[in-house]
Amino acid sequence: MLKRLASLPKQAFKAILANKGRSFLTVLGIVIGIASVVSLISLGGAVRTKFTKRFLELGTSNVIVHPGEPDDASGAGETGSGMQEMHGDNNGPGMGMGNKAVSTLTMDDLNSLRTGNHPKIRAVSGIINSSMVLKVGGKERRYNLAAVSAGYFAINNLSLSKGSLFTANDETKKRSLLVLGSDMAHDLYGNKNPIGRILTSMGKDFKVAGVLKRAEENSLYDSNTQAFVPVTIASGADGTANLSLITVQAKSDKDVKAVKTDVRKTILANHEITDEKLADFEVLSARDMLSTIDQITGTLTMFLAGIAAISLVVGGIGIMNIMLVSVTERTREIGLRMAVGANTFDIISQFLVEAVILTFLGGLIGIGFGTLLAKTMAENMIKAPAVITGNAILLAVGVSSAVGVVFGLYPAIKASRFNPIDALRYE
Amino acid sequence: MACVIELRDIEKTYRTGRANMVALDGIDLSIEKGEFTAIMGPSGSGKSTLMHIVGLLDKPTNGVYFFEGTDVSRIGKRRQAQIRNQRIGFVFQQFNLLSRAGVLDNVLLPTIYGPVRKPVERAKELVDAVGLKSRIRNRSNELSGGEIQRVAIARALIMDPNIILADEPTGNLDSKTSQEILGLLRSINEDGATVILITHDQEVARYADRVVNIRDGRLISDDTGEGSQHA
Repeated sequence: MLKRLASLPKQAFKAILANKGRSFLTVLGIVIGIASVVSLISLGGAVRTKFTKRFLELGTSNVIVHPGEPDDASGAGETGSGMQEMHGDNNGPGMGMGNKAVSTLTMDDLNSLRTGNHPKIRAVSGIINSSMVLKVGGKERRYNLAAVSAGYFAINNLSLSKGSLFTANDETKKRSLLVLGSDMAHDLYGNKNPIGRILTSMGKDFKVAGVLKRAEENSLYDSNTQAFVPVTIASGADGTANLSLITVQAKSDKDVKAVKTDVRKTILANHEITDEKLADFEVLSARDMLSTIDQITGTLTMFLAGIAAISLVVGGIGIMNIMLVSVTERTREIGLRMAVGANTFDIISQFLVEAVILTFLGGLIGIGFGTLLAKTMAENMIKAPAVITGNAILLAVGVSSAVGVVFGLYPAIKASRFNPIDALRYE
Repeated sequence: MACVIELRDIEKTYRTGRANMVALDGIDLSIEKGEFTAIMGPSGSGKSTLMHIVGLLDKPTNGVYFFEGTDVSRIGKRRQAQIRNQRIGFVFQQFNLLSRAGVLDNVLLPTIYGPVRKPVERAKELVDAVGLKSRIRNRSNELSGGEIQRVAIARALIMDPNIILADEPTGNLDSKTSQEILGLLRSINEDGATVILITHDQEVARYADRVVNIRDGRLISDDTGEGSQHA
């Protein structure tokens, strides 16, 4: 029995090589299918790696408080109109918010996180996102403007290139100081020194205090084309303001969980909410957001890979078709083998092994092509290394072999059902 | 008397459309070990059907077939395949070699499906014995008809079977080559194997010790010894 099985791969290779051109065309469908699946999974991995890297650059010890309801999983992008009505009387003063008409986070929340007893918190920063339109070289251009606490720069790893940052004191005194991102400074002043210059926006004069070092570009937001003012500038005359975001930095990574709890409790108390389910804000760590993004990219990758896998079914039908042709062509061979002692099992396994080896080879070639494609695309388009995991390769090998079994079985069974005499006489 | 083959009242009927075609109509035949028997008859006489049943490639509709003392008329396909592999060697009119495979691989084909000691050495001996030593490296589609049939004979012998079934082995060969092939079968018989030769040709049947004539599915004569070809 063992010898019968051991001889099968050799026989199969001989049969496959006897028809090289046809064999290659037959497995082309499998090659394309496996290459697409492998490359999509690898590219998905590359996108994930890139996101992860960027997110962790934002600081793994940071906790971000979003305004809005906790079930509102997508966070900032989608504040329900109900929210607006609920807080309609609390309209934000000063600069209009970018994407958030009304925020549930206030300066009070920021202050109570900053001043109360919070042993695990290192720094807190509020941010109000807005924009300003400036004339650059005769053309109007819109720049993002963020009103931030003095601690914002340290929390977000932004460092100074020229001049100075504004301080907590500047914040309290509502000094109209401006810190520019490197690209924005270059747009406005070219190679001239921008420090001390006055910029007028919305009827207000701002003095440029400092320029930031160029930060690595980030797919989430770009600090290089932004300007920063003290958060108090954006608050109303009575000192109230609605914040787009509060960023809290924990003292270390392992304090993140405690800080999340602390922040949640503090803000709930401020908002006089006891039922946590009704919270009108959301506390997320960088890792929380990462896992959401991971989930989304993961689902998307599997979805795309699934679509690519359909081509494997098409490829499998191609295999079945050629195996049927091959069985018919080799009817006499089958008859002869039966005459010299091959039984049903021998014939089934002969053709099945042939189909599986064919698809397995197709799978290997597909993995090669897919890897190459993923590497090229990842390097040139995503600018992150392709992630080719052992699992993806195992999956590809497994799936391609399974395609061989599934689509090789019918032709193999058909061959084994031949009557030896009829098969021997077949012309 | 060691009967290797014993057929009792064997019938074979084919269904062709509405009518039943009777190919074998009550055949009784015993063949003893070491015999060289020719089964002779014109085309359509049922001799090929008889050979298929004797070679366990087909089952009789009725009747009993003892193969080496065992009733094999109703055994399963798997067991049939095993007996074909180990006890019977086939030589066909159409040769039936794997054309892309080499001489040695063709001779070795039955060894895939059953045990044999030192198959490659045995195959080489047999290729040598049928006079093809110089052609052993060739592929079978590079050989002449006579050479191909020699390879087929070597293949029939590789499992060391008790019975050689040759169905019109010289049907596609010229007379000189035919004589060589028949001489080869003769010497195989002299070495102890039972040989059954199916033919329509009296000249071919002459090589056998016993000639069984068959017509319309019935055995019409069974002659041993000299003069059998005149039956």
